[in-house]
Amino acid sequence: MQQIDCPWCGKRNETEFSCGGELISRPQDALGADDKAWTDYLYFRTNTKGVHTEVWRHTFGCRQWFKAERNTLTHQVVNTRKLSEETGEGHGDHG
Amino acid sequence: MPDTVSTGLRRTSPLARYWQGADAARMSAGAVSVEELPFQGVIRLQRREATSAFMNSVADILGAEAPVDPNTCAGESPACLWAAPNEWLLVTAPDKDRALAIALQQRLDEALPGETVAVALLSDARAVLKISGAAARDLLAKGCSLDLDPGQFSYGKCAATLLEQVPVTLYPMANESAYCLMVDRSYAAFIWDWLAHAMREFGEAAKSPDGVSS
Repeated sequence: MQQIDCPWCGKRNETEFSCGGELISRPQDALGADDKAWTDYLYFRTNTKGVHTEVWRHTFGCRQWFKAERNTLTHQVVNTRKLSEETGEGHGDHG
Repeated sequence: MPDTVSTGLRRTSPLARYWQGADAARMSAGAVSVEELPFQGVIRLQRREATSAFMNSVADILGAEAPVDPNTCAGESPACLWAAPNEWLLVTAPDKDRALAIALQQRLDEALPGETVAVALLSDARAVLKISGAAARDLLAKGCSLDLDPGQFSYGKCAATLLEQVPVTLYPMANESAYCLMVDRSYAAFIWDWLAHAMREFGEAAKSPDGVSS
C-alpha cells in the first residue's frame, strides 16, 4: 500500500485511485492519420521497464484524471501532475 | 415527519427501517453517537470554468464565496463544499434545497445567458449522518484512511473519500467534535450497520441498534 499525491487533494491511499494505463495521445489529424498511426494509437504501448508516465484518476475523491510517473518494477508512483502541466517538477513533496 | 412533494408520493428516508417510531435513526455507544439528519438538502453545482461572473453570482445567492481551495468548505446553512475543480456540493436544511436550487439557476441564467451551468438536486440520492462525541474520530478511523487529526482535518475542511470501501463525503461540523457524513442512498443501510458494529468497542449501546445480529 502506498499513498499517491493527487494534484488537487494531496496524499491519499492508493485504494482511492484507478490507473488508466500508459499516457498516449490521439492522432491530431484524425481524418488524415493512416492505418499505422491508428494501429499504434489503439494497440501498441511501449511497456516500459522502469519509470514511465501513466494517467491515473482519483476515482473516490475529486474524480480528476492526472499524470503519474510510476516505476513498473516497484509499482512506486514517484511523481504526479495535472494533465495540463506538460513539464516541470510536478506536484508537492514525493518523499 | 415524512414530507410530501407535489406528486403526492410520501418521501421516505433510506434509513426509515431504523427509525423505531422516532423521527430519525439514532444510536449511541459510550462516547460516540450517530444520528441521521433526515431529508437534508444536497445540491451539486458545476460549471466548466469558474469565471468571476459565475463566482460572483453564486456568492450573491449563498451569501459567501464558494471555496476554491481543494477540500475546503464554507458556511453552515447552506454549507458549500469543494467537491472537484469547478464543482461544489451545497448542504441545506430540509425543505430549503428546492428554493435554493431554483434561486441559483435563475441568478446564473441572468448573469450568464446561454451558458451551461449544472444545478442538480441530489437530496433524495444521499443520506446524511452526524457522528459526534469524543470517540467520533476513532470510530471513523476504523474504516477511513484519511488523516482525521484535528490539525489536518478540522472545521473548514471536507473530503470525498472511502469509508469501509464505500464512497462518502465527510466534513467536520462547526463548534463541536462532530462530523457530517454523506453517503449514497443505496449504501446508507450498509454504512449504518457497519457503524453500529464498529461503535460497539466504545461502550454499551444506550439504545440497541436495530438490524444488527449480536
